[in-house]
Amino acid sequence: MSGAEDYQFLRTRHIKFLQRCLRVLPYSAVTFDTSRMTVLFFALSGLDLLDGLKEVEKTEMQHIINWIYSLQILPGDDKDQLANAGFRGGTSLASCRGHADSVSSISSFDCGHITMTYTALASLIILGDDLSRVDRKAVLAHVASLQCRDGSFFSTRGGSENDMRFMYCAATICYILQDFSAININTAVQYIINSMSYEGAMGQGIYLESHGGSSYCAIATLHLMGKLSSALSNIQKQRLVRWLVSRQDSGGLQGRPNKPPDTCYTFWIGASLKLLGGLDFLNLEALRQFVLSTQDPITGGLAKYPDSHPDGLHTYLGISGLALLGRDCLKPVDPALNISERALKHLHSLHKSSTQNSKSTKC
Amino acid sequence: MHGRLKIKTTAEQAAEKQKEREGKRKLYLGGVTKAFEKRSSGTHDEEGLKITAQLLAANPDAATLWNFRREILLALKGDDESWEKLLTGELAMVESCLMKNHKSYGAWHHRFWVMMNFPKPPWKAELSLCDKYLKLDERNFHCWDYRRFVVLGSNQQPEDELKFSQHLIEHNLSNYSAWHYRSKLLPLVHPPPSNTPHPISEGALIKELQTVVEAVFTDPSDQSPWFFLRWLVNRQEKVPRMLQVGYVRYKGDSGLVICVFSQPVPQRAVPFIRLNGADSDETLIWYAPNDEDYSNVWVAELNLSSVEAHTISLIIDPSMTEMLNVGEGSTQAIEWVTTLEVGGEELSDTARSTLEEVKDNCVTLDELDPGNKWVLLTLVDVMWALDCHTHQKKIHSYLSQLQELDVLRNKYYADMKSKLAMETSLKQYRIVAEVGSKFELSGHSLTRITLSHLLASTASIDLSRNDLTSISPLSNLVACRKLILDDNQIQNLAPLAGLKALESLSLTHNKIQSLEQLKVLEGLSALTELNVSANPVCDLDNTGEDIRKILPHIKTLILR
Repeated sequence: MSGAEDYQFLRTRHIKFLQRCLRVLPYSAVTFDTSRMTVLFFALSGLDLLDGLKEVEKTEMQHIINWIYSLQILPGDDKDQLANAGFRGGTSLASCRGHADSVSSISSFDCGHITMTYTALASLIILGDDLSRVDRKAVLAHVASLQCRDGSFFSTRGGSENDMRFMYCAATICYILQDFSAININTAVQYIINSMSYEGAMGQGIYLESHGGSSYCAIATLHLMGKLSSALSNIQKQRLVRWLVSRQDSGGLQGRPNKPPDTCYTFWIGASLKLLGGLDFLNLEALRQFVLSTQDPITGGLAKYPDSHPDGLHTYLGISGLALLGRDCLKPVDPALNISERALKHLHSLHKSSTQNSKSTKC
Repeated sequence: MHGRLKIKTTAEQAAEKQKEREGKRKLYLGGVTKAFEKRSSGTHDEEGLKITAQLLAANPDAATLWNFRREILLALKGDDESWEKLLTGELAMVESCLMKNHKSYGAWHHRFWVMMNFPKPPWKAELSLCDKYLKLDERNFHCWDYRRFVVLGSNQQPEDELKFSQHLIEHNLSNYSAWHYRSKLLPLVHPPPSNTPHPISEGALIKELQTVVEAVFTDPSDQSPWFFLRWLVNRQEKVPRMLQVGYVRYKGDSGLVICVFSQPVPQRAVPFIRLNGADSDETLIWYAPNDEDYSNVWVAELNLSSVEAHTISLIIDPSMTEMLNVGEGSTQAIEWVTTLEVGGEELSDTARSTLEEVKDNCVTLDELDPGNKWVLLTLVDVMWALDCHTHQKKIHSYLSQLQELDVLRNKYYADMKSKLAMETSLKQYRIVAEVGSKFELSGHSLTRITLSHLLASTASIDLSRNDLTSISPLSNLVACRKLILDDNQIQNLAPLAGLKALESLSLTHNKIQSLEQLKVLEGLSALTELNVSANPVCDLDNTGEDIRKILPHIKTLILR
């Protein structure tokens, strides 16, 4: 790591890699079948940050928007079904549902998944959609139904584990739809505080080790709820920053102590530090060199470690991590929602016009 | 997706693989379709179990398939004996999924469900399963979480688990998860009495410290025991307290009441105010200089006629009223409500002697194994906790060593040096401070200003010749009349926009580029002296005229 090799950022190859992710996934990615929405998000947001979205045809964009909406579950007026709403991860489960139109065909297993809902909404924003086809009431009911008594969230109504990842998804959905009334903010904040361990950062849940991914989810959630300055004391923030800064190991960032550095933590840890004002405590050039060393020079894309196979998740989080550093001609990224600042601006303009509309309807 | 390495294949091998994949894909899709046909028709049978088993073996993270499987199992539930048999088979099935992916959320979650449905759960066997998976990967937090569940269910005592963690640590000092587990068990087995700042009872603390110190002497290069040590010695945070109340007149009879707290508090924490023995509270509108909901400093406008003396009473709680006397014609008054906390002053005797012992051990270790980052970091922490003022020189030299040893975190240590300089100076300042005294900390390579709330009532502040770029904490200097920020890297002056009392501002040798950046000072009606020489903005045409236009109150303007 002493500057023997200076890696270059292979922008065009990554664009090609992500374009392929948009179209076809290899069999090795079968475990992602039920979460294709997340892969879509990685590809779209990655292309956005690489300034490669302009190469996607308008017709293709519209096709993707329609595909996303086709995965939305629409319970209509049936109040009992509202909580089963949200977005699905892929078509393989939905297509077996039989005919899509009648409400009675929504069975208890065919319900939204909170991560898919977040990535669906984020993808729509990136594509410039105005969210007018989103059934807000239903989506918020779906989020509300997934919160547990201890403040954390499940991912789906059919049942799943509950932890910090889904709390983050809940917060992003509420932020995008500008409505936090669906969740109990106090218990959510309490869950986050309770998940802090002796190391000073957050684990996936109470009793679990501090972890880079969960810490990001917790910090970004607090930020989106507007609670970051009040929920954590100065000492708690200091210890958190110290833990995050200590994750840099020979250039790259690790998810937990004594683990090898992994590209995806460039975003999880980097964005956490950005939100806490401590990103500059890292050695950014060494970090950048590590990320670039995980690039695949033939297929494009970034992998977890150098000399591993690239995949959508690590490619995207490596790119958005680099975007935080402000180099390599990447578009700036918003650390809390994990979308480009351009996309965030679009979202804010939607927020503005909806408040204006609601004001005019009041008269 | 789990860090697989690449291997090269020939064209022939690649083609065969492609065929194999196609076949697998068809089977998979076929299976999924069949599974959901069954579900929609409400068919819960053995075949469904078979199909979902195959699908989940390929994709153990399909939550919906696990849900369907649970539905089938519940539908097939018969008497206790057959149910136990079914569930035992289920445990085997989950294990086959786990063998493929030790970290599948879906598989572990299903195992929880199976165990919760057993009439007589086989806890012992599950504990062995945990041992097995932890041997494969001692950091597998899914397994640790599951182990906790098994321990609870089997009524395994925390003391036994404590022994287990000890065994793991002895076997491998760097078993980070085992130290973590220990940190959760210790407060259960040795809870601290309510008033102590430590996480466990004092007796256990001393014993634990001995163990940890032994561990670090055995292998000083491993970070796990050092983090544990830091957790043991670190103090918990205190409840926020009011530190200071002040009054400053900034123009004629116009003035500000200032309340300073030890930590950021919301507005409702500000006490009620009564003037000159009145019976009712004054209605004051409090605001935070940083415009946030939580702040260390809260300020309110209050006009008091300067031809007479006044008494401001703060009702802190029913038993405590703080009085601030503002003399006739005086421009400033300060009252310290509680002892200033700048670290180390409130340690119990046991805590102090414990920390001293740790310090001595570390000093020995530093002599035996010089250049060990963890020893130095611990020394910094412990000395700072004891008394940053007395140990300032040593702490500073350790930080310099750390900057060389741990180059990646160079900027982080530089930042700690800034903090050290500020905290020590503020402690010194507190001891000698009187109304009207000056706070100076120049030429210290400061990159950051901390604890600025302790300067909220200070009239004259000098932070020249440092490395400051961001000055946002300076928004707290609401009583400051004279501010010297020469020789820094400042561009953005927005934090100074609310400093109503400011009369003289010196910014020579900074990075101010434009008139826009100076415009933020336009609300400061008391500002009459401004020095912006040796800034890029001075190279523009007509700077002098333009500045006077936007800041008409300025009488003395220095441009060169």
